[in-house]
Amino acid sequence: MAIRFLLTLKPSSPPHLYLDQIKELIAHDDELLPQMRKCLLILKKYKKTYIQLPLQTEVILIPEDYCHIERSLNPTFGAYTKTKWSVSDIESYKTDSQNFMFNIKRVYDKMGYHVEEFAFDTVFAQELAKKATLIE
Amino acid sequence: MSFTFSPSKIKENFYKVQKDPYQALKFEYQVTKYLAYFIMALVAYNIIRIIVYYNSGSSFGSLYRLIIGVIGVVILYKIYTNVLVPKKKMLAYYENNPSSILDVKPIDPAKEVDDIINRFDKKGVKKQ
Repeated sequence: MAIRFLLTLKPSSPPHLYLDQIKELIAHDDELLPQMRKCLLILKKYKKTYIQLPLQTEVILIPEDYCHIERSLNPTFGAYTKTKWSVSDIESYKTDSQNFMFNIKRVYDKMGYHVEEFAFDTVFAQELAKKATLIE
Repeated sequence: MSFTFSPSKIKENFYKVQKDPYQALKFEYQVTKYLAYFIMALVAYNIIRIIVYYNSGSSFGSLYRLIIGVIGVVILYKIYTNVLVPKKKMLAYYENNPSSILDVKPIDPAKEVDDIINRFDKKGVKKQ
């Protein structure tokens, strides 16, 4: 069963994330995703100290395909992007799926989002994932 | 016309925009606003010209003018909602949360990025 997270920025949280906050968020990670590496290198190149966050965003986890899709809902209504899970993510999901979900929610909570969880139709989610742009 | 920063202090303003998310957004909004208004004026002028100077021998001339007018309004509405409204919303969010505006941190981006990237190898796996 796919799971949909609706993330709304808490009124007390700023809509930006500084580099030191990103560093703190990924301090205990064993892997650095290629898109995160690219994002960091862009920040370094343009000497920017922060990334802008959307006010509301949607993340749909599709454990059947070991991937997730996400899009911004507010202020801009973006298209879906798809991210395939890494080997360690797949293993961690297989070992303890509840803990995997909890960790995802904890990361978004640290970023300043209020997380709402909904069950989502897997077939429809897979169709959306087929149309989504794959981020590598 | 009022800009967030004085154009005479380009270097100082550039650093300010790099470090302060609110000021960067405010500056981006000001620039985008004038650019969008200029493009919208051009589009409106051309649509009005097409409507006024439209030559039609058929009895459907008024209908064609109406369709062109509606298309013009849709184009202008789309430019406004896609370009200006999202930035306006973000600015409103910052203004409703003054603590976010004050939250400016002096960070050296090169050092912070190197600190993060050097912890991982080229494949993105954490170094032992």
